[in-house]
Amino acid sequence: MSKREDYVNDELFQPAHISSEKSETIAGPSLSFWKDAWMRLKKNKSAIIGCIILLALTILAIFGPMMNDFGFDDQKLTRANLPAKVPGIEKLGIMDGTDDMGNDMYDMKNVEEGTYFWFGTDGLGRDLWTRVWQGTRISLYIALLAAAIDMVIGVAYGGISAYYGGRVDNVLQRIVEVLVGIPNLVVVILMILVLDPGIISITVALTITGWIGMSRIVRGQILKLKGQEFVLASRTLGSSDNKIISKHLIPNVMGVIIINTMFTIPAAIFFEAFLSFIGLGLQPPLASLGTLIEEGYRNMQIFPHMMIYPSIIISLVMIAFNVVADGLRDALDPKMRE
Amino acid sequence: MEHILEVKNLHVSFDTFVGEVQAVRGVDIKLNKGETLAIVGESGSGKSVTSKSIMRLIPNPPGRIKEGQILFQGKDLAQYSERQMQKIRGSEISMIFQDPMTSLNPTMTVGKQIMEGLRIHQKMSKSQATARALELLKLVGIPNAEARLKQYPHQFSGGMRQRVVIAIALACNPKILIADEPTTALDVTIQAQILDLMKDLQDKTGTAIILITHDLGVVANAAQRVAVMYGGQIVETGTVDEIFYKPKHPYTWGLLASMPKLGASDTDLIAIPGSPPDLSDPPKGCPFAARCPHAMKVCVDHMPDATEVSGTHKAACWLLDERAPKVEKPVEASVGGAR
Amino acid sequence: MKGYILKRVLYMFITLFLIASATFFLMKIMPGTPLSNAAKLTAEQEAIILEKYGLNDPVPVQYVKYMANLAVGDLGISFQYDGRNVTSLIMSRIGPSAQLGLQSMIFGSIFGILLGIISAIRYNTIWDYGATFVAVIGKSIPSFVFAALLQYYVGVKLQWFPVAFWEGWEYSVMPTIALAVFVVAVSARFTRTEMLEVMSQDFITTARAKGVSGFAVVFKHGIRNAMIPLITILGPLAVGLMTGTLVVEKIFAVPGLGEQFVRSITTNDYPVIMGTTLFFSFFLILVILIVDILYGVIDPRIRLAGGKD
Repeated sequence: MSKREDYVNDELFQPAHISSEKSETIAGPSLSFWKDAWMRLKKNKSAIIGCIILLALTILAIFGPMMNDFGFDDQKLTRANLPAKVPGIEKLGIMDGTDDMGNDMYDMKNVEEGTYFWFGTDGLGRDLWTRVWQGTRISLYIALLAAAIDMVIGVAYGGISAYYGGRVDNVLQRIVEVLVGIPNLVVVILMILVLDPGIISITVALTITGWIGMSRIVRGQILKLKGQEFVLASRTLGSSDNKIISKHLIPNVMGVIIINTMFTIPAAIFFEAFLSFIGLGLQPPLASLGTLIEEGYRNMQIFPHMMIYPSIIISLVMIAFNVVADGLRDALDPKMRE
Repeated sequence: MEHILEVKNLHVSFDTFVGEVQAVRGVDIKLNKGETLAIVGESGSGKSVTSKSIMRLIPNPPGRIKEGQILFQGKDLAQYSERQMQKIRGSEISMIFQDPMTSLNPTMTVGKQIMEGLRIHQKMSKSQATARALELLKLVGIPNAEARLKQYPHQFSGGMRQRVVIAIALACNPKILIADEPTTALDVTIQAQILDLMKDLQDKTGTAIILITHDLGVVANAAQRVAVMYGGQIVETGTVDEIFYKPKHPYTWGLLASMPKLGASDTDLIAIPGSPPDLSDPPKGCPFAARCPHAMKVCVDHMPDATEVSGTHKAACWLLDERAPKVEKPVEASVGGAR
Repeated sequence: MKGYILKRVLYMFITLFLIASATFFLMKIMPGTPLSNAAKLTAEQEAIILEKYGLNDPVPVQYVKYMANLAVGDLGISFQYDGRNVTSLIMSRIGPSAQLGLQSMIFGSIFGILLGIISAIRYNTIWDYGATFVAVIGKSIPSFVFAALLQYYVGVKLQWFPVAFWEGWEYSVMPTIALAVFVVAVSARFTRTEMLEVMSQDFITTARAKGVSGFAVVFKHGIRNAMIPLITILGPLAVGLMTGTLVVEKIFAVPGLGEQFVRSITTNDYPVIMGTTLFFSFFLILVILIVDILYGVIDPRIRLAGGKD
């Protein structure tokens, strides 16, 4: 103890008054559910990249078709089947208006000097850049609409089922049990056959059974929450039903609703494109990403550019939505909270 | 006396997103052959981390042994490679865990789980291992052992499962058994049975036991020596008698006072106010200072050294300094329930 | 358990009955008869054909007849293939589809599970990120986009495998890969999650404390427990594969059920559409039923022992 005596003097052996409150403070700021989720999402690099891609694609879907002078159904057979040509990039040897053989198609077709089709043209000479973004717009529109309808029906159905419980729940759930057995694919195809393809009919076909997943998740979540102790605690403390619903149920159910909706959107985009590909898509001159891919596929062996650009865009849309949905799930899932 | 295990100045940290959490800060432990040492402390005191560090079972990352030695029969386990450790685990040092419901593999028969260690360490043939497993099941008091061998863990009750866990741990006659809260998850009646079993087996095999617990009642019955842990450090060690009847550290007083006693009314139960220190930002001085009723100015900034009270009894508290005011153990604690 | 299975089988039949009825009436609403595709016919010929397809009866009679035939597995007669029985048409088309489905299921899940395991044991390393990236890509890119690009680059450009048709095992390579991508993605993600969950459980620590080596811990204790819940993704996988076969068979001109279905849609061959729809529904419902029962059989062990649900 000799060394210690140098700095530990007698004076230090006086009672200290340490406030015990200091040790009781909670480390770290207390965060609301949404703030906390946002913090998590911000840390997820791939989700942020996904968000940025999604934003960029949305902006292009809205403004892309206006970025040049070609209309989405301006046909001109003299400029049909042109590969992509982009100012600047053309010097790199890609997207320079040449075909596989290296022939400059723009020259061969006597297209005016200085004309650029950024994604090339299709068999009728329509500008693919305009058509691709127009198609993205329609695909996104169908998907968002379908997801929104799924959400409304699903939340209402699941909510009613869980809230009223008892016989109502029993009847509603028996119906779901039968419906859930029907493969989505079958329903969608049959509906399109009956309804004739169009934006509304495709949306309707997608939502016919699409809401079931949402309703089950919402019902499950509400039932789980109803039995949980914090709700019971709140009730014993005298909270009204409205308060319990708005303060406890909705914030906790919102998470799963958002996550599920985020996964519905890419699924709807996929189904729309899928229907188009098997010949049940939108009718010309309307185009969605799916119909563009189908059209491109038919010409792929000779004019691959018609297939490749819409394929890249749909893949980007799907990847971005999936990544963001994954990120949201990780951010919102209370199980992952430390 | 010969030390079979000697932990010297062990520091273990976890790198988390709030920074480095210093879970264990300079722990010294000596374990004698064939004895039972209890490590007592509340949750977060570092007792489990200490025991897992001895087995080198701290997941790395995020955990790491920052410094210190873990001398087992004179060799430093802290320097061992993973492969060398595999030879030690289960054969020389074994461990049993808190929750018997989750510490057995649900898709493997109980027999196979007991035999696994035997086949690895003692290179037994299948029939030898089966025979030994049968013997072990009988040893830990499981009736109808032949049939039980082929059953899956879900067919056993909690207490029976903990017996199986003990059988697994003792399969290769280890020199040290680390029991991490072995009875916490069990019913009170089963707790006593398991403790008796461990004591009984210790008498037969001479295995040294490190018993990790937060329950002083368990300690009194099962251990010869006690180490009290707080804030990642050992604040007091001594024999069971010394800790129960002549405790020197205010935290130990608090622990004893907060123990329920037979014949005392509910109001006599005394809690220690406050909560343990945040080990991501540990206090400079004594970790208990913030909750200590006798804290002095010196406690806040200076860590007390371990002061020898007797040959077997040490405590790290400034109150033991001759300059400190004389503070005696409060009366309530002296009633001491156990023994 | 018996009661549960009975209940499920009952629901299965109700669902099938509903699908069959809905399909029947939907088809009745739709325009087109077997005559739409034929050239000019005399009134007499028309009458004969309508009689042949039973289209002269009132709709309720047709419905009862249809359901009665269905009960004995008779799906009616194709409009397109001059009087060919739909049931035998479907049967003749199952082979290639089943082969593609099984091949992609087996290879896809083996590869996916391996990827998932690597991801989990190399958690948060470049391996994990790489595998996760592959899984996201595989789940996101539509099967027909992938199949078309595969056909163009590997088939047409590199000429490694035949571009289309069905004349030997090498013809099945590209369609199998195109279908398997989805299986790989789904099983890799699922395995990763399950493995991470299992590897964090207490019994893994017990095994390590026994001195079991890292490799053996992963394989003997980890994977076996992680694999059981994998049964649950068989249902979604079957659905995904079935969706995939429609487009992939179309792209690679495989004479399977999917290709037939797409063709019948474009030619308005209603009996074939109905028959295939019912067959698909029956198959999927059966798969999901089997999966649920299988899981129910294994479940108690997990529910009781595996830990918290």
